[in-house]
Amino acid sequence: MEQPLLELQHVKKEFRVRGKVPLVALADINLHLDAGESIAVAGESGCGKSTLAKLITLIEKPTSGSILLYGEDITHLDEKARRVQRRNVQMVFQHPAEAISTRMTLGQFLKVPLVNFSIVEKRHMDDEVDRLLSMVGLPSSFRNKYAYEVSGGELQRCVIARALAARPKLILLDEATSALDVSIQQEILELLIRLQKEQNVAYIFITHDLSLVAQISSRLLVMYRGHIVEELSSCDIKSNCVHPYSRFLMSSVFSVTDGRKKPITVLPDDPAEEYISVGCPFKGRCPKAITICDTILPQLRLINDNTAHYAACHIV
Amino acid sequence: MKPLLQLTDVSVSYQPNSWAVSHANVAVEEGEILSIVGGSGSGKSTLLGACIGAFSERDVLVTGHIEFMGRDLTSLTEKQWADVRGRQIAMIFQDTQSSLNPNRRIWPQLWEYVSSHSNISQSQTRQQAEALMKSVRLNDPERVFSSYPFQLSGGMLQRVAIVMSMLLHPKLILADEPTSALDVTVQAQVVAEIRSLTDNYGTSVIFVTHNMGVASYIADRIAVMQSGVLVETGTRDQVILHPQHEYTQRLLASVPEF
Repeated sequence: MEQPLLELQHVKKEFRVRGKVPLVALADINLHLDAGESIAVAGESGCGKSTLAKLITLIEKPTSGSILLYGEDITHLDEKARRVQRRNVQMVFQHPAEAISTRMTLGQFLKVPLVNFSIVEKRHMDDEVDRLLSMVGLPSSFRNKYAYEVSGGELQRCVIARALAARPKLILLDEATSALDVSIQQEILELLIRLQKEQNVAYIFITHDLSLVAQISSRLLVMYRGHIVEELSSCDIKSNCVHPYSRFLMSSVFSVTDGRKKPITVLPDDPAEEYISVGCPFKGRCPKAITICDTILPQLRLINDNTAHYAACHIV
Repeated sequence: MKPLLQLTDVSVSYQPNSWAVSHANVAVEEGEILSIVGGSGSGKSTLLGACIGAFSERDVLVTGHIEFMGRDLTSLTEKQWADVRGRQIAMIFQDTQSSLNPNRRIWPQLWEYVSSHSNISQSQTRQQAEALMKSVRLNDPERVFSSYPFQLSGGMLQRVAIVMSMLLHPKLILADEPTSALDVTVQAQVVAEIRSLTDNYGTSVIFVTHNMGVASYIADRIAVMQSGVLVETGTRDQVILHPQHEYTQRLLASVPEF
Protein backbone atom coordinates (compact mmCIF):
# COMPACT_ATOMS: atom_id res chain seq x y z
CA MET A 1 0.00 0.00 0.00
CA GLU A 2 1.29 3.40 -0.92
CA GLN A 3 2.54 5.72 1.80
CA PRO A 4 0.27 8.66 2.53
CA LEU A 5 1.73 11.89 1.21
CA LEU A 6 1.39 13.65 4.54
CA GLU A 7 0.76 12.42 8.05
CA LEU A 8 0.42 14.32 11.29
CA GLN A 9 0.59 12.15 14.40
CA HIS A 10 -0.47 13.52 17.76
CA VAL A 11 0.75 16.95 16.81
CA LYS A 12 0.58 19.53 19.55
CA LYS A 13 1.60 23.18 19.38
CA GLU A 14 1.84 25.30 22.45
CA PHE A 15 2.89 28.90 22.82
CA ARG A 16 4.42 29.81 26.12
CA VAL A 17 4.01 33.31 27.49
CA ARG A 18 5.88 34.15 30.65
CA GLY A 19 3.68 34.31 33.69
CA LYS A 20 0.64 32.93 31.95
CA VAL A 21 -0.87 29.55 31.20
CA PRO A 22 0.55 28.30 27.87
CA LEU A 23 -1.74 28.82 24.91
CA VAL A 24 -2.46 25.48 23.29
CA ALA A 25 -3.03 26.34 19.65
CA LEU A 26 -3.25 22.70 18.57
CA ALA A 27 -4.14 20.03 21.09
CA ASP A 28 -3.73 16.60 19.49
CA ILE A 29 -3.95 16.65 15.72
CA ASN A 30 -3.98 13.49 13.65
CA LEU A 31 -4.33 13.82 9.92
CA HIS A 32 -3.40 11.92 6.79
CA LEU A 33 -3.49 12.95 3.19
CA ASP A 34 -2.86 10.79 0.13
CA ALA A 35 -1.17 11.97 -3.05
CA GLY A 36 -3.52 13.98 -5.24
CA GLU A 37 -6.17 14.10 -2.52
CA SER A 38 -7.88 17.26 -1.43
CA ILE A 39 -9.09 17.94 2.09
CA ALA A 40 -10.76 20.98 3.57
CA VAL A 41 -10.17 22.30 7.06
CA ALA A 42 -12.98 24.49 8.32
CA GLY A 43 -12.97 26.68 11.37
CA GLU A 44 -13.03 30.26 12.52
CA SER A 45 -10.54 32.57 14.21
CA GLY A 46 -8.76 30.86 17.05
CA CYS A 47 -9.37 27.29 15.91
CA GLY A 48 -5.69 26.69 15.16
CA LYS A 49 -5.91 26.46 11.38
CA SER A 50 -3.20 29.07 10.76
CA THR A 51 -0.92 27.32 13.22
CA LEU A 52 -1.66 24.06 11.44
CA ALA A 53 -0.77 25.73 8.14
CA LYS A 54 2.56 26.93 9.57
CA LEU A 55 3.44 23.46 10.81
CA ILE A 56 2.55 21.75 7.54
CA THR A 57 4.49 24.29 5.49
CA LEU A 58 7.48 23.84 7.82
CA ILE A 59 7.52 27.43 8.95
CA GLU A 60 7.25 26.28 12.57
CA LYS A 61 7.89 23.07 14.47
CA PRO A 62 5.35 21.28 16.66
CA THR A 63 5.82 21.21 20.43
CA SER A 64 5.32 17.45 20.30
CA GLY A 65 4.13 14.82 17.82
CA SER A 66 5.39 13.98 14.34
CA ILE A 67 4.98 15.16 10.78
CA LEU A 68 5.77 12.68 8.04
CA LEU A 69 6.13 13.30 4.32
CA TYR A 70 5.89 10.06 2.32
CA GLY A 71 6.68 8.18 5.52
CA GLU A 72 9.81 10.22 6.23
CA ASP A 73 9.86 12.05 9.56
CA ILE A 74 10.40 15.73 8.79
CA THR A 75 9.49 17.04 12.24
CA HIS A 76 12.98 17.88 13.48
CA LEU A 77 14.83 18.83 10.34
CA ASP A 78 17.29 21.69 10.51
CA GLU A 79 16.68 24.84 8.51
CA LYS A 80 18.75 23.69 5.55
CA ALA A 81 16.86 20.43 5.20
CA ARG A 82 13.53 22.21 5.67
CA ARG A 83 14.30 24.53 2.83
CA VAL A 84 14.76 21.52 0.59
CA GLN A 85 11.46 20.00 1.74
CA ARG A 86 9.57 23.22 1.19
CA ARG A 87 9.71 22.48 -2.49
CA ASN A 88 7.18 19.73 -1.83
CA VAL A 89 4.79 21.83 0.21
CA GLN A 90 3.84 25.20 -1.18
CA MET A 91 1.28 27.68 0.04
CA VAL A 92 -1.26 30.28 -1.02
CA PHE A 93 -2.50 32.72 1.60
CA GLN A 94 -5.48 35.02 1.87
CA HIS A 95 -4.08 38.36 0.81
CA PRO A 96 -2.19 38.14 -2.46
CA ALA A 97 -0.75 41.64 -2.09
CA GLU A 98 1.13 40.45 0.98
CA ALA A 99 2.83 37.68 -0.96
CA ILE A 100 4.34 39.91 -3.61
CA SER A 101 6.93 42.63 -3.19
CA THR A 102 5.68 45.87 -4.70
CA ARG A 103 9.06 46.30 -6.34
CA MET A 104 9.02 43.09 -8.30
CA THR A 105 7.38 42.53 -11.61
CA LEU A 106 5.08 39.51 -11.69
CA GLY A 107 7.61 37.79 -13.93
CA GLN A 108 10.35 38.28 -11.35
CA PHE A 109 7.98 37.04 -8.68
CA LEU A 110 7.37 33.81 -10.58
CA LYS A 111 11.06 33.30 -11.16
CA VAL A 112 11.92 33.23 -7.44
CA PRO A 113 11.03 29.55 -6.86
CA LEU A 114 12.42 28.64 -10.27
CA VAL A 115 15.78 29.98 -9.13
CA ASN A 116 15.60 28.80 -5.51
CA PHE A 117 14.82 25.25 -6.40
CA SER A 118 16.69 25.16 -9.72
CA ILE A 119 13.58 24.05 -11.52
CA VAL A 120 14.73 24.97 -15.03
CA GLU A 121 17.89 26.31 -16.58
CA LYS A 122 18.33 30.04 -16.86
CA ARG A 123 17.76 30.09 -20.61
CA HIS A 124 14.35 28.43 -20.21
CA MET A 125 13.09 30.67 -17.42
CA ASP A 126 11.11 33.11 -19.54
CA ASP A 127 9.37 30.24 -21.28
CA GLU A 128 8.61 28.62 -17.95
CA VAL A 129 7.14 31.88 -16.65
CA ASP A 130 4.90 32.06 -19.70
CA ARG A 131 3.85 28.48 -19.18
CA LEU A 132 2.95 29.16 -15.54
CA LEU A 133 0.99 32.27 -16.46
CA SER A 134 -0.99 30.42 -19.09
CA MET A 135 -1.70 27.61 -16.60
CA VAL A 136 -3.56 30.11 -14.49
CA GLY A 137 -5.27 31.78 -17.43
CA LEU A 138 -3.12 34.91 -17.64
CA PRO A 139 -1.43 36.32 -20.75
CA SER A 140 2.37 36.50 -20.96
CA SER A 141 2.16 40.30 -20.92
CA PHE A 142 1.65 39.95 -17.17
CA ARG A 143 5.33 39.18 -16.90
CA ASN A 144 6.13 42.87 -17.00
CA LYS A 145 3.32 44.14 -14.81
CA TYR A 146 3.55 45.16 -11.18
CA ALA A 147 1.17 44.05 -8.46
CA TYR A 148 -0.62 47.39 -8.24
CA GLU A 149 -1.53 47.22 -11.91
CA VAL A 150 -3.64 44.09 -11.68
CA SER A 151 -6.80 43.11 -9.82
CA GLY A 152 -7.03 41.04 -6.62
CA GLY A 153 -8.23 38.00 -8.52
CA GLU A 154 -5.42 38.28 -11.08
CA LEU A 155 -2.88 38.64 -8.30
CA GLN A 156 -4.17 35.55 -6.56
CA ARG A 157 -3.80 33.66 -9.83
CA CYS A 158 -0.13 34.72 -9.87
CA VAL A 159 0.32 33.50 -6.33
CA ILE A 160 -1.18 30.16 -7.34
CA ALA A 161 1.15 30.05 -10.35
CA ARG A 162 4.09 30.65 -8.07
CA ALA A 163 2.97 27.84 -5.79
CA LEU A 164 2.88 25.54 -8.80
CA ALA A 165 6.30 26.69 -10.06
CA ALA A 166 8.12 24.45 -7.61
CA ARG A 167 6.07 21.47 -8.83
CA PRO A 168 4.98 20.66 -5.31
CA LYS A 169 3.24 17.54 -4.09
CA LEU A 170 0.98 19.56 -1.84
CA ILE A 171 -0.38 23.07 -1.85
CA LEU A 172 -1.80 24.48 1.33
CA LEU A 173 -4.38 27.20 0.69
CA ASP A 174 -5.23 29.29 3.72
CA GLU A 175 -8.45 31.24 3.06
CA ALA A 176 -7.17 31.66 -0.49
CA THR A 177 -10.48 32.94 -1.82
CA SER A 178 -11.85 34.77 1.25
CA ALA A 179 -10.58 38.21 0.31
CA LEU A 180 -11.95 38.02 -3.20
CA ASP A 181 -15.35 39.04 -4.44
CA VAL A 182 -17.86 36.23 -4.60
CA SER A 183 -17.87 36.08 -8.40
CA ILE A 184 -14.07 35.96 -8.53
CA GLN A 185 -13.98 33.33 -5.79
CA GLN A 186 -15.87 30.97 -7.99
CA GLU A 187 -13.46 31.52 -10.89
CA ILE A 188 -10.46 30.84 -8.67
CA LEU A 189 -12.04 27.71 -7.25
CA GLU A 190 -12.68 26.38 -10.74
CA LEU A 191 -9.09 27.14 -11.66
CA LEU A 192 -7.84 25.24 -8.60
CA ILE A 193 -10.01 22.24 -9.40
CA ARG A 194 -8.77 22.13 -12.99
CA LEU A 195 -5.14 22.48 -11.93
CA GLN A 196 -5.45 19.65 -9.47
CA LYS A 197 -6.61 17.29 -12.16
CA GLU A 198 -3.87 18.42 -14.53
CA GLN A 199 -1.00 18.40 -12.04
CA ASN A 200 -2.15 15.68 -9.61
CA VAL A 201 -1.25 17.92 -6.68
CA ALA A 202 -2.83 17.46 -3.25
CA TYR A 203 -4.62 20.35 -1.54
CA ILE A 204 -5.27 21.30 2.01
CA PHE A 205 -7.91 23.98 1.72
CA ILE A 206 -8.47 26.01 4.86
CA THR A 207 -11.67 27.99 4.90
CA HIS A 208 -14.40 29.26 7.17
CA ASP A 209 -16.86 29.21 4.29
CA LEU A 210 -18.51 25.83 4.14
CA SER A 211 -20.31 26.45 0.88
CA LEU A 212 -16.98 26.01 -0.91
CA VAL A 213 -16.01 22.71 0.68
CA ALA A 214 -17.93 20.27 -1.52
CA GLN A 215 -16.44 21.72 -4.68
CA ILE A 216 -12.83 21.71 -3.61
CA SER A 217 -12.38 18.66 -1.39
CA SER A 218 -13.30 15.04 -0.80
CA ARG A 219 -13.06 15.23 3.00
CA LEU A 220 -13.72 17.91 5.58
CA LEU A 221 -12.12 18.41 8.98
CA VAL A 222 -13.89 20.84 11.29
CA MET A 223 -11.69 22.52 13.87
CA TYR A 224 -12.57 24.35 17.03
CA ARG A 225 -10.06 25.87 19.46
CA GLY A 226 -7.19 23.59 18.68
CA HIS A 227 -9.18 20.40 18.25
CA ILE A 228 -10.55 18.49 15.30
CA VAL A 229 -14.17 18.08 16.31
CA GLU A 230 -15.49 16.34 13.23
CA GLU A 231 -14.16 14.59 10.14
CA LEU A 232 -16.40 13.44 7.29
CA SER A 233 -16.79 13.14 3.55
CA SER A 234 -17.41 16.46 1.79
CA CYS A 235 -20.54 15.22 0.05
CA ASP A 236 -23.63 16.62 1.59
CA ILE A 237 -22.00 17.94 4.75
CA LYS A 238 -25.07 20.00 5.44
CA SER A 239 -27.19 16.92 6.16
CA ASN A 240 -24.49 14.66 7.56
CA CYS A 241 -22.52 16.70 10.03
CA VAL A 242 -23.49 16.06 13.63
CA HIS A 243 -21.21 18.01 15.95
CA PRO A 244 -23.07 21.00 17.41
CA TYR A 245 -20.27 23.37 16.34
CA SER A 246 -20.31 21.99 12.79
CA ARG A 247 -24.06 22.49 12.68
CA PHE A 248 -23.63 26.04 13.94
CA LEU A 249 -21.09 26.68 11.18
CA MET A 250 -23.43 25.20 8.57
CA SER A 251 -26.35 27.31 9.68
CA SER A 252 -24.35 30.52 9.25
CA VAL A 253 -24.08 30.33 5.49
CA PHE A 254 -26.39 32.70 3.63
CA SER A 255 -27.72 31.11 0.51
CA VAL A 256 -29.62 33.15 -2.01
CA THR A 257 -32.85 31.24 -1.59
CA ASP A 258 -33.27 31.38 2.21
CA GLY A 259 -34.27 34.99 2.55
CA ARG A 260 -35.57 36.44 5.78
CA LYS A 261 -37.18 33.21 6.91
CA LYS A 262 -33.73 31.77 7.56
CA PRO A 263 -33.36 31.36 11.31
CA ILE A 264 -30.07 32.72 12.60
CA THR A 265 -28.61 30.61 15.38
CA VAL A 266 -27.53 32.79 18.24
CA LEU A 267 -24.94 31.45 20.64
CA PRO A 268 -22.93 33.14 23.40
CA ASP A 269 -19.71 34.69 22.21
CA ASP A 270 -16.49 32.76 22.13
CA PRO A 271 -14.63 33.35 25.42
CA ALA A 272 -11.51 34.06 23.44
CA GLU A 273 -8.92 34.75 26.12
CA GLU A 274 -9.52 31.73 28.29
CA TYR A 275 -7.97 28.48 27.25
CA ILE A 276 -10.36 25.69 28.04
CA SER A 277 -8.16 23.02 29.54
CA VAL A 278 -10.82 20.71 30.89
CA GLY A 279 -13.82 19.16 29.17
CA CYS A 280 -15.10 19.97 25.71
CA PRO A 281 -13.77 23.21 24.17
CA PHE A 282 -17.28 24.06 22.93
CA LYS A 283 -19.01 23.51 26.26
CA GLY A 284 -19.64 27.19 27.14
CA ARG A 285 -21.53 27.81 23.92
CA CYS A 286 -23.04 24.48 23.06
CA PRO A 287 -26.84 24.37 23.13
CA LYS A 288 -26.73 20.63 23.84
CA ALA A 289 -24.04 20.47 26.51
CA ILE A 290 -24.58 18.00 29.34
CA THR A 291 -22.71 17.56 32.63
CA ILE A 292 -20.01 15.29 31.30
CA CYS A 293 -19.04 17.93 28.73
CA ASP A 294 -17.71 20.08 31.57
CA THR A 295 -15.08 17.64 32.70
CA ILE A 296 -14.24 15.06 30.05
CA LEU A 297 -12.73 16.01 26.69
CA PRO A 298 -14.62 14.03 24.03
CA GLN A 299 -12.33 12.02 21.75
CA LEU A 300 -12.80 11.70 18.01
CA ARG A 301 -14.62 8.45 17.44
CA LEU A 302 -16.05 6.67 14.44
CA ILE A 303 -19.76 7.21 14.07
CA ASN A 304 -20.26 5.84 10.59
CA ASP A 305 -18.03 3.08 9.34
CA ASN A 306 -19.20 3.27 5.72
CA THR A 307 -18.28 6.89 5.28
CA ALA A 308 -15.34 7.20 7.70
CA HIS A 309 -17.24 9.83 9.64
CA TYR A 310 -15.71 10.80 13.00
CA ALA A 311 -16.99 13.20 15.65
CA ALA A 312 -15.71 14.32 19.05
CA CYS A 313 -18.88 14.80 21.04
CA HIS A 314 -20.52 13.15 24.04
CA ILE A 315 -24.05 13.40 22.78
CA VAL A 316 -23.86 12.02 19.23
CA MET B 1 -44.93 59.13 0.69
CA LYS B 2 -41.59 60.73 -0.05
CA PRO B 3 -38.57 58.50 0.33
CA LEU B 4 -36.11 59.26 3.14
CA LEU B 5 -33.21 59.51 0.70
CA GLN B 6 -33.45 60.05 -3.04
CA LEU B 7 -30.47 59.99 -5.38
CA THR B 8 -31.21 61.55 -8.74
CA ASP B 9 -28.70 61.31 -11.57
CA VAL B 10 -25.73 61.24 -9.18
CA SER B 11 -22.27 60.98 -10.69
CA VAL B 12 -18.91 61.11 -8.94
CA SER B 13 -15.57 61.65 -10.58
CA TYR B 14 -12.12 61.56 -8.98
CA GLN B 15 -10.23 62.17 -12.20
CA PRO B 16 -11.13 63.90 -15.46
CA ASN B 17 -12.95 61.64 -17.92
CA SER B 18 -13.40 58.85 -15.44
CA TRP B 19 -16.56 58.24 -13.45
CA ALA B 20 -16.54 56.18 -10.28
CA VAL B 21 -20.33 56.52 -10.11
CA SER B 22 -22.36 57.26 -13.20
CA HIS B 23 -25.95 58.58 -13.24
CA ALA B 24 -27.17 56.78 -10.14
CA ASN B 25 -30.88 56.87 -9.44
CA VAL B 26 -32.08 55.10 -6.33
CA ALA B 27 -34.22 55.77 -3.26
CA VAL B 28 -34.35 54.53 0.32
CA GLU B 29 -37.64 54.58 2.17
CA GLU B 30 -38.11 55.09 5.88
CA GLY B 31 -37.71 51.95 7.91
CA GLU B 32 -36.22 50.06 4.99
CA ILE B 33 -32.94 48.31 4.19
CA LEU B 34 -31.53 48.88 0.73
CA SER B 35 -28.65 46.61 -0.16
CA ILE B 36 -26.19 47.75 -2.80
CA VAL B 37 -24.46 44.73 -4.26
CA GLY B 38 -21.42 44.76 -6.48
CA GLY B 39 -17.80 43.69 -6.74
CA SER B 40 -14.64 45.60 -5.84
CA GLY B 41 -14.29 48.77 -7.81
CA SER B 42 -17.98 48.91 -8.65
CA GLY B 43 -18.33 52.33 -7.02
CA LYS B 44 -20.49 51.30 -4.10
CA SER B 45 -18.22 52.83 -1.43
CA THR B 46 -18.01 56.02 -3.48
CA LEU B 47 -21.80 56.14 -3.62
CA LEU B 48 -21.94 55.89 0.17
CA GLY B 49 -19.26 58.53 0.42
CA ALA B 50 -21.41 60.96 -1.51
CA CYS B 51 -24.24 60.31 0.97
CA ILE B 52 -22.08 61.17 3.99
CA GLY B 53 -20.38 64.20 2.47
CA ALA B 54 -16.98 62.56 2.10
CA PHE B 55 -16.34 64.74 -0.92
CA SER B 56 -17.64 68.07 0.30
CA GLU B 57 -15.13 70.85 -0.23
CA ARG B 58 -12.67 68.41 -1.79
CA ASP B 59 -11.33 68.00 -5.28
CA VAL B 60 -13.92 65.42 -6.28
CA LEU B 61 -16.73 66.19 -8.70
CA VAL B 62 -20.22 65.24 -7.55
CA THR B 63 -23.16 66.01 -9.83
CA GLY B 64 -26.84 65.32 -9.54
CA HIS B 65 -29.00 65.57 -6.42
CA ILE B 66 -29.19 63.70 -3.15
CA GLU B 67 -32.38 64.68 -1.39
CA PHE B 68 -32.59 63.88 2.29
CA MET B 69 -35.27 65.24 4.61
CA GLY B 70 -35.90 68.29 2.46
CA ARG B 71 -32.26 69.20 1.80
CA ASP B 72 -29.99 68.56 -1.15
CA LEU B 73 -26.90 66.99 0.35
CA THR B 74 -24.77 67.74 -2.72
CA SER B 75 -24.97 71.45 -1.96
CA LEU B 76 -24.08 71.36 1.74
CA THR B 77 -20.99 73.06 3.09
CA GLU B 78 -18.73 71.29 5.58
CA LYS B 79 -20.28 73.33 8.34
CA GLN B 80 -23.76 72.19 7.35
CA TRP B 81 -22.58 68.58 7.09
CA ALA B 82 -21.51 68.67 10.74
CA ASP B 83 -25.21 68.83 11.62
CA VAL B 84 -26.10 65.89 9.46
CA ARG B 85 -23.31 63.44 10.11
CA GLY B 86 -23.86 61.30 13.16
CA ARG B 87 -27.21 62.84 14.02
CA GLN B 88 -29.13 62.22 10.82
CA ILE B 89 -26.85 59.91 8.87
CA ALA B 90 -24.26 57.65 10.50
CA MET B 91 -21.73 55.25 9.02
CA ILE B 92 -20.26 51.85 9.82
CA PHE B 93 -17.15 50.61 8.04
CA GLN B 94 -15.78 47.20 7.12
CA ASP B 95 -12.64 47.91 9.06
CA THR B 96 -13.50 48.81 12.64
CA GLN B 97 -10.26 50.68 12.93
CA SER B 98 -11.92 53.38 10.88
CA SER B 99 -14.42 53.98 13.68
CA LEU B 100 -12.38 53.42 16.81
CA ASN B 101 -9.11 54.84 18.10
CA PRO B 102 -6.85 51.96 19.18
CA ASN B 103 -5.23 54.10 21.86
CA ARG B 104 -8.35 54.89 23.85
CA ARG B 105 -10.84 52.85 25.77
CA ILE B 106 -14.32 52.40 24.35
CA TRP B 107 -16.36 54.56 26.73
CA PRO B 108 -14.45 57.83 26.20
CA GLN B 109 -14.81 57.35 22.46
CA LEU B 110 -18.58 56.77 22.68
CA TRP B 111 -18.91 59.79 24.94
CA GLU B 112 -16.83 61.98 22.65
CA TYR B 113 -18.99 60.96 19.69
CA VAL B 114 -22.20 61.86 21.49
CA SER B 115 -21.01 65.02 23.23
CA SER B 116 -19.54 66.52 20.08
CA HIS B 117 -22.85 66.19 18.25
CA SER B 118 -25.48 66.82 20.92
CA ASN B 119 -26.42 68.02 24.40
CA ILE B 120 -27.36 64.60 25.72
CA SER B 121 -26.05 64.08 29.26
CA GLN B 122 -23.39 61.56 30.16
CA SER B 123 -25.68 59.50 32.32
CA GLN B 124 -28.33 59.32 29.64
CA THR B 125 -25.72 58.38 27.06
CA ARG B 126 -24.46 55.65 29.36
CA GLN B 127 -27.95 54.30 29.84
CA GLN B 128 -28.71 54.28 26.14
CA ALA B 129 -25.36 52.73 25.30
CA GLU B 130 -26.00 49.94 27.79
CA ALA B 131 -29.44 49.24 26.36
CA LEU B 132 -28.10 49.23 22.81
CA MET B 133 -25.23 46.97 23.78
CA LYS B 134 -27.59 44.45 25.27
CA SER B 135 -29.68 44.51 22.12
CA VAL B 136 -26.61 43.50 20.09
CA ARG B 137 -25.73 40.86 22.66
CA LEU B 138 -22.81 42.62 24.29
CA ASN B 139 -24.04 41.44 27.64
CA ASP B 140 -21.30 42.94 29.79
CA PRO B 141 -21.40 46.62 28.79
CA GLU B 142 -19.17 47.72 31.70
CA ARG B 143 -16.44 45.44 30.53
CA VAL B 144 -16.73 46.72 26.97
CA PHE B 145 -16.72 50.38 28.10
CA SER B 146 -13.47 49.93 29.96
CA SER B 147 -11.71 47.90 27.23
CA TYR B 148 -9.33 49.02 24.56
CA PRO B 149 -10.24 47.95 21.04
CA PHE B 150 -7.44 45.37 20.93
CA GLN B 151 -9.06 43.57 23.85
CA LEU B 152 -12.23 42.89 21.91
CA SER B 153 -12.80 40.51 19.03
CA GLY B 154 -13.70 41.66 15.51
CA GLY B 155 -17.35 40.81 16.03
CA MET B 156 -17.51 42.70 19.30
CA LEU B 157 -15.83 45.74 17.75
CA GLN B 158 -18.30 45.81 14.94
CA ARG B 159 -21.13 45.67 17.44
CA VAL B 160 -19.55 48.60 19.29
CA ALA B 161 -19.49 50.46 15.97
CA ILE B 162 -23.19 49.67 15.54
CA VAL B 163 -23.96 50.91 19.06
CA MET B 164 -22.00 54.08 18.46
CA SER B 165 -23.78 54.77 15.20
CA MET B 166 -27.18 54.34 16.87
CA LEU B 167 -26.50 56.56 19.89
CA LEU B 168 -27.66 59.71 18.16
CA HIS B 169 -30.73 58.02 16.69
CA PRO B 170 -29.96 58.73 13.05
CA LYS B 171 -32.67 58.16 10.46
CA LEU B 172 -30.20 56.47 8.15
CA ILE B 173 -27.14 54.28 8.65
CA LEU B 174 -24.67 53.68 5.83
CA ALA B 175 -22.99 50.31 6.30
CA ASP B 176 -20.02 49.64 4.02
CA GLU B 177 -19.46 45.85 4.01
CA PRO B 178 -19.66 45.79 7.81
CA THR B 179 -19.50 42.01 8.07
CA SER B 180 -17.17 41.04 5.23
CA ALA B 181 -14.11 40.86 7.46
CA LEU B 182 -15.80 38.78 10.16
CA ASP B 183 -15.86 35.02 10.69
CA VAL B 184 -18.88 33.40 9.14
CA THR B 185 -20.81 32.66 12.34
CA VAL B 186 -20.14 36.14 13.68
CA GLN B 187 -21.18 37.60 10.34
CA ALA B 188 -24.49 35.80 10.47
CA GLN B 189 -25.25 37.17 13.91
CA VAL B 190 -24.21 40.75 13.14
CA VAL B 191 -26.26 40.74 9.93
CA ALA B 192 -29.28 39.62 11.96
CA GLU B 193 -28.58 42.34 14.53
CA ILE B 194 -28.48 45.04 11.86
CA ARG B 195 -31.78 43.79 10.47
CA SER B 196 -33.31 44.00 13.93
CA LEU B 197 -32.19 47.66 14.23
CA THR B 198 -34.50 48.46 11.37
CA ASP B 199 -37.29 46.23 12.65
CA ASN B 200 -37.14 47.60 16.20
CA TYR B 201 -36.10 51.22 15.78
CA GLY B 202 -37.23 52.01 12.23
CA THR B 203 -33.73 53.11 11.21
CA SER B 204 -33.13 52.87 7.47
CA VAL B 205 -29.93 51.20 6.35
CA ILE B 206 -27.98 51.16 3.11
CA PHE B 207 -26.06 47.89 3.40
CA VAL B 208 -23.24 47.51 0.89
CA THR B 209 -22.00 43.98 0.22
CA HIS B 210 -20.50 41.81 -2.49
CA ASN B 211 -22.45 38.79 -1.27
CA MET B 212 -25.88 38.22 -2.76
CA GLY B 213 -26.69 35.69 -0.06
CA VAL B 214 -26.36 38.35 2.63
CA ALA B 215 -28.32 40.85 0.53
CA SER B 216 -31.04 38.27 0.03
CA TYR B 217 -31.44 37.91 3.78
CA ILE B 218 -31.17 41.49 4.94
CA ALA B 219 -32.62 43.66 2.21
CA ASP B 220 -36.07 44.98 1.47
CA ARG B 221 -34.74 46.35 -1.80
CA ILE B 222 -31.60 45.59 -3.76
CA ALA B 223 -29.57 47.71 -6.18
CA VAL B 224 -26.89 45.99 -8.26
CA MET B 225 -23.84 48.03 -9.19
CA GLN B 226 -21.27 47.38 -11.88
CA SER B 227 -18.45 49.73 -12.89
CA GLY B 228 -20.15 52.76 -11.41
CA VAL B 229 -23.57 52.06 -12.87
CA LEU B 230 -26.66 50.81 -11.07
CA VAL B 231 -27.63 48.12 -13.55
CA GLU B 232 -30.69 46.80 -11.75
CA THR B 233 -32.85 47.88 -8.83
CA GLY B 234 -35.98 46.37 -7.39
CA THR B 235 -37.52 44.72 -4.38
CA ARG B 236 -35.57 41.87 -2.87
CA ASP B 237 -37.90 39.32 -4.41
CA GLN B 238 -37.79 40.95 -7.82
CA VAL B 239 -34.00 40.98 -7.99
CA ILE B 240 -33.41 37.58 -6.39
CA LEU B 241 -36.19 35.64 -8.09
CA HIS B 242 -36.50 37.48 -11.42
CA PRO B 243 -33.12 39.06 -12.18
CA GLN B 244 -33.17 40.94 -15.45
CA HIS B 245 -29.61 42.09 -15.98
CA GLU B 246 -26.83 39.70 -17.00
CA TYR B 247 -24.53 40.91 -14.24
CA THR B 248 -27.19 40.31 -11.59
CA GLN B 249 -27.66 36.81 -12.90
CA ARG B 250 -23.92 36.25 -12.76
CA LEU B 251 -23.72 37.46 -9.14
CA LEU B 252 -26.56 35.15 -8.19
CA ALA B 253 -24.93 32.22 -9.94
CA SER B 254 -21.65 32.76 -8.13
CA VAL B 255 -23.12 32.16 -4.68
CA PRO B 256 -22.44 28.45 -4.21
CA GLU B 257 -25.43 26.23 -3.54
CA PHE B 258 -25.56 25.14 0.02
